[in-house]
Amino acid sequence: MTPDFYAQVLASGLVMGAIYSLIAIGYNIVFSATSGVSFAQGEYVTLAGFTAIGLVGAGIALPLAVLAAIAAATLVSAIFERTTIHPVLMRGPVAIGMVTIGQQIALQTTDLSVWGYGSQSLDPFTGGEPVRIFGAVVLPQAFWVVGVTFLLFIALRVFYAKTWLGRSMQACSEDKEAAASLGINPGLVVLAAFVLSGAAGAIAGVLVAPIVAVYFQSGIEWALKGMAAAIIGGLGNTTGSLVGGFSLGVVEALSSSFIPAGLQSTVPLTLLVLLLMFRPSGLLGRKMARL
Amino acid sequence: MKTHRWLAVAAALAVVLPGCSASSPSPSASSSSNAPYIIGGFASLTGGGAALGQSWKQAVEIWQKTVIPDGKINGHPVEFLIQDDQSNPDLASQIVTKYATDNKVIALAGATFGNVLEAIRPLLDDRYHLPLMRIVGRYHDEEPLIKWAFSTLIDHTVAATLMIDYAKQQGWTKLAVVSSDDAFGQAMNQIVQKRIAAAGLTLVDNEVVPFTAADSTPQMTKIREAKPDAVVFYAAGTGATTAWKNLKQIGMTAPILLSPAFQDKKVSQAVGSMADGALIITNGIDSCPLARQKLAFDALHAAGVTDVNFIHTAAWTGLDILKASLEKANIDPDPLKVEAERGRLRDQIEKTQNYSGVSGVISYSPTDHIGITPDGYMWGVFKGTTLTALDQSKCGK
Repeated sequence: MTPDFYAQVLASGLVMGAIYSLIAIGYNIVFSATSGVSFAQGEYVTLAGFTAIGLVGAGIALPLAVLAAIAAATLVSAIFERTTIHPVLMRGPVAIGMVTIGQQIALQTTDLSVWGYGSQSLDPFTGGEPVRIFGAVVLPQAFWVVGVTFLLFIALRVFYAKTWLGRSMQACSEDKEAAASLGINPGLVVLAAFVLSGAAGAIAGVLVAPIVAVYFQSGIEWALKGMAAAIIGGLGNTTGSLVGGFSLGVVEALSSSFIPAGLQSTVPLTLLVLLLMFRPSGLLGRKMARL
Repeated sequence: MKTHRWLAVAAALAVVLPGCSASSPSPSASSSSNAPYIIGGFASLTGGGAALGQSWKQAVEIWQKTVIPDGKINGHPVEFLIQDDQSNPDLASQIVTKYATDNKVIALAGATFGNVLEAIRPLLDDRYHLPLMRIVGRYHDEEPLIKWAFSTLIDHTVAATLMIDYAKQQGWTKLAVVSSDDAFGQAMNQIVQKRIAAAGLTLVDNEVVPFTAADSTPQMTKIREAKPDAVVFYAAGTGATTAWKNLKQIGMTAPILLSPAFQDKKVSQAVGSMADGALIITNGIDSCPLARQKLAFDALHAAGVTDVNFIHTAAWTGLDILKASLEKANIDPDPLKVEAERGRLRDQIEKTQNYSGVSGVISYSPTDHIGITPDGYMWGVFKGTTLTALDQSKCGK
């Protein structure tokens, strides 16, 4: 294998890793607020991808379609929180997990009935020829994916550190009872968590739709990879999402070059098992005990 | 008192006599001309193979409206049952069992994937003796004969030969192969490798991509590094679509030869402008119907199907042959006779010779239930995302 090959594999791994990171961020936000896991997280990726494709197909300009798709998926996440999560909030993380399985099924069925069974794709955000970096051919869309992921990560850090709502969410993730005693409304925090996690998934969806075909079952794949990334990085840790996502993306890209196709899907699971054996809290995590 | 006795006897007779008449040959059985032909259809209407199953369902529905607008064959009403097997062999077996025992179907149509066909094979050949017009093409060189199943679809083993022959004619001596990791993809991978070796060409890289892969860039990069003269895709699933797109995204310019499973407008649209120039082997091209395909293509187009594919043509041909066989053998749909009549129907289907169908010219024999002749295949080329015939001179003939 030439250096060009490894450069290409690394580039591919970083792009997919960025998407995994965004989905992992969504998992982490919900986990921090509820101690539960949202199994519907991958569906927001698919929903936003399909919505953007549908809007562009209806003649709406790409930038507007992308923003509208993110807004729509975020709104759906908020509505689901109010109608299905909020009523079971006090029943604990298992109930929340079960409800999100229902959400996942509902969203997937909706995708199938609205957009059909076939795979579809979105136009790239910007045209232009692919760029060669250290021998790797990199699509302009790849810069959007990685760039927006880092921007979102920074924005999230600022949000947590500088805003009242962000600090409230941080406080709730540390100790819900203490936060409530200080006047923080846990219901509002959970709503904000689902809004943010839905938006993170939706942003991943519109970013990746020009690169990877969207089909009604793709949410499951994204959900599994995103969850693996979140656990690898450490559940509850935003920086860990980034580390976990990029680690998974690069390892997966490398392994797909050398491991038979039938075994490739075992790579994230193998990584998870090894990590849970030797570092149960994940690379940067500290909250596994709360699971 | 006597009056009461007579009344009681009369009442008893009134109750018993209809029962007696029912035990004699029933009106419904004797007037079997009113009994329907029940056909049991099943395909993968959801799940990873839904694109194929949905095409089959479209063709079945439009065929019924077009070919039997009065809903009758031989004067018998036709009841077409349709079930989703979800590409699940266990579910398919349950559906076939129900069709055979509860619904008393005269024949089956459908079966989208090889794993489903394998699962129901003992039910067809050993248990229920039920004829099937299958839409699974042959993808093993030595596929054992399924006595009760008849194919009208592309024979993948022949299509693979034609693809490699074409590459050789073009002077492309170094080939790379991409296949999917499902049973179909793996079987075809072996066959394509054999054909390449038999043609004296060189296999420079062989990549297997996961059926639902989201990114195959690393494997496609290996292909690019191997510098093939052409890349042969014999694969299925969304992973194959992704691989095709990835290969073009990394700047691969070598010609691409695609297997029939890529003949789906949504697949080429997902690949986008990068689909341009790829060649595909098939047996029917939407923009270039042959004379024997015109009726079906016109009906499909009129019903809103904008991308007629090899599944539409196979499903249509299968039903045409089934209808012709029901008529020729004058099959009696009487539920009491259905099991014997299934055998007569099978024998009649097997006698089909030189049937000029939508998917090709079909001839069956006691040792060949695949039937389709090699001249039924044609090459298409993508102009942008639209498939056109490579040889336009065949259109309409």
